[in-house]
Amino acid sequence: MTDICLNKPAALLKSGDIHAAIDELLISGAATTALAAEKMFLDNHLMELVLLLDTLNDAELRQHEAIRLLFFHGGRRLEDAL
Amino acid sequence: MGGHAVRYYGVDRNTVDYDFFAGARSTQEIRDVIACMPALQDAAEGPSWRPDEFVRFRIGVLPDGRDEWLEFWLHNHLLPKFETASGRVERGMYGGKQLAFLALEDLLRSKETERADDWHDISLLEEIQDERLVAAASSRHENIVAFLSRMRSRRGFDRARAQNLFADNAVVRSALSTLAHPVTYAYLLPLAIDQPPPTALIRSVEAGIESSLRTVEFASLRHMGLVEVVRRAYQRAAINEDRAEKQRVLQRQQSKNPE
Repeated sequence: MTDICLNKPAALLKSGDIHAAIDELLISGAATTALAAEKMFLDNHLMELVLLLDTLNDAELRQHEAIRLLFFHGGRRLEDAL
Repeated sequence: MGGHAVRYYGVDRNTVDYDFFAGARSTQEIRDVIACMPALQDAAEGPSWRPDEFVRFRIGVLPDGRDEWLEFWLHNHLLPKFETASGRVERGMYGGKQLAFLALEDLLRSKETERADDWHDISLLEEIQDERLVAAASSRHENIVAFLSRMRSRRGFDRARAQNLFADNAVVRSALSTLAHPVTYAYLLPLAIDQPPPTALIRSVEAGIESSLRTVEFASLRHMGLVEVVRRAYQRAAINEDRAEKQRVLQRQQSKNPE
């Protein structure tokens, strides 16, 4: 069995910093499309996302740009699929 | 396998390749068979970076200028042994003929590549697999276990909740003890927090996430967020493995043909 290994979270992600970080991935050429940059950002910050999920309340989670992105790129809800 | 199999299972998308998983002893055997087929007399063999495992033939040009390919895999790291796969194929009508397709679970695994398009196919095929299983799960205990132990999509999860399929904790525990996929594990673990990881789990879930899953409220926003983190982590690990495998193949090829 292979482990899923993640990096240790550095700090609590700030909602206002998310889009600047995604823009930086595009500007640097690390990602070539906005969607790819968003996914890359998420994949680079998985443990930070867990920290947010463990720390914030539901209202704060719903407002947080990183969590919104996580769900946007995640499994579709039933109503979205209909 | 490939795009036509994805279409067969119900995903509405185009493809220009015909992909086959072949039980031939070598790629030469495939060349010999193609050479004997009158309808494929004009087929031209294309380049292959895995010449012992993969062979492709250009069979025409589409109106938009793209080449149309007939492609054969003998094996790769994402396919089971041919005998295993052929023993569980699904047969069905496609293009007016009855054809054999990789079983849905094998097709899902075959798509765990570094390509974004393949992961898009996976997300849709997971929903289709869940729909099939949940349709069979309506009454019989063992069918509910079969569904819960393979459930992977948010759509399937919502459907299971709507049908009250998580109500019997013994059923959930039974599914938890046999499941293999980390996303399924992440969906079910909050309902049986004292249960150890199943031995069939194909990738362990990172300890920090597993610990959060053992304290989170089932079906809460936090729970769904943790499931999506596990989904992304699984995808990232699979992509890294696929890249590493391709690198190994390229290195083998380069060592055989140093120029």
